[in-house]
Amino acid sequence: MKIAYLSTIYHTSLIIKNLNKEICGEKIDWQLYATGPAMIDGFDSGEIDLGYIGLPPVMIGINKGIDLKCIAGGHVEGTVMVASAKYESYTSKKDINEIISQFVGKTIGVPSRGCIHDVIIKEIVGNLDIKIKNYGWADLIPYALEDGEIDAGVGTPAMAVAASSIASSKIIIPPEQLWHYNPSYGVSIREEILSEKREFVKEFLMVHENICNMIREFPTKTSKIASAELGLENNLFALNAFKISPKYCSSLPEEYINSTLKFLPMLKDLGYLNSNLESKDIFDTELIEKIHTNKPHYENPWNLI
Amino acid sequence: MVKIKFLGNFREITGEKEKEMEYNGNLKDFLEILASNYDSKFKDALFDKERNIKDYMKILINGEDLKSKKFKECLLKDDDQVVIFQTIAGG
Repeated sequence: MKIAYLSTIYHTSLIIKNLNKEICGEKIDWQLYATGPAMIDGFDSGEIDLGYIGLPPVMIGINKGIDLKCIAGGHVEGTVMVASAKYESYTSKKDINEIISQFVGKTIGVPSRGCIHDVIIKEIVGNLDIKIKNYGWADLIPYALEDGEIDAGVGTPAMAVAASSIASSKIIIPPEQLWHYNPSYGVSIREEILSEKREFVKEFLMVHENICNMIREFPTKTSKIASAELGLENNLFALNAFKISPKYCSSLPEEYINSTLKFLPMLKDLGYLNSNLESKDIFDTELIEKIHTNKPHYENPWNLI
Repeated sequence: MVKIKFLGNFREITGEKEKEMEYNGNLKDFLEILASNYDSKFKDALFDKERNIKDYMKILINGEDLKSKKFKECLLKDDDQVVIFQTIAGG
């Protein structure tokens, strides 16, 4: 099984990779990708079978004719905007438009075109005169902020933690204000593998479900494992990233699906896709509904607050 | 001269943000030579026990993301920019 993952520290992939050499007797070949769109190219060329990926790139891939289905959730609201202390942050008294207007005539850095962060910030910016600069690796954004190449950065909570230590930035718009319940990542798989290796997929999703629970229930222990997998000296970075948007769960509730479908008009407007995808074209919820039988946990942070 | 940019923990290990180095050859050997200029922490950070680049380390050549199995084929020339970093910021 060829599994694509991102370096996002709260994805279950890092913990599964650290704890399991194989699943259901199947060895796993883990492949690190920079962004969701890069992963879609990997699916397209047959380099990967399963991936940890945000939903907009999945929709773009399906529109291109790649036989993919999202079979589990993982996290919602994983996009955050950061900038230096001179800019005003979102408060309940300030409108998002007022906050984003501070960047008129300026540049915002964001990972690759077509990734969830790119789509969200382009929707928020709308017709304002703000330049969007895309980066192949999110890791370059904090340094671009530090060098003054960009005025704000948009990416994962992990990018926000890195930017605060590298560029002394702060959160300007928190994840829940950028796009409610946005599907920051889920588990997607080639349909052929889903039907051919059903037992493996079932067991993989059970492990994924357990780790999602572990992040919420035992954040310190889980952050240590994820940190070791990324070669970090301690778990502070991971723990801080976990807490920025503590919304982890493997389920695919109606809210997750509806939020995904709300991306369709934007993806069309941006020229990223041209067909009318429906929920059944994107999701196959059969297995995860059998594994995650209770209510979704996205709004239940347990020990993360 | 090949231009090298260090990010993250490589800045701490090398004490440098950037460096220039006279070099003609492949990327695999280049990384070995570069590592030999520094404390053993550099090698420990970049390579695993089998001397392969660690999963979470990235080398960009002129902005292009290169997979480690292609390092031997990649020939560096004057003015090429090599960026070395540990991936932590997610996708």
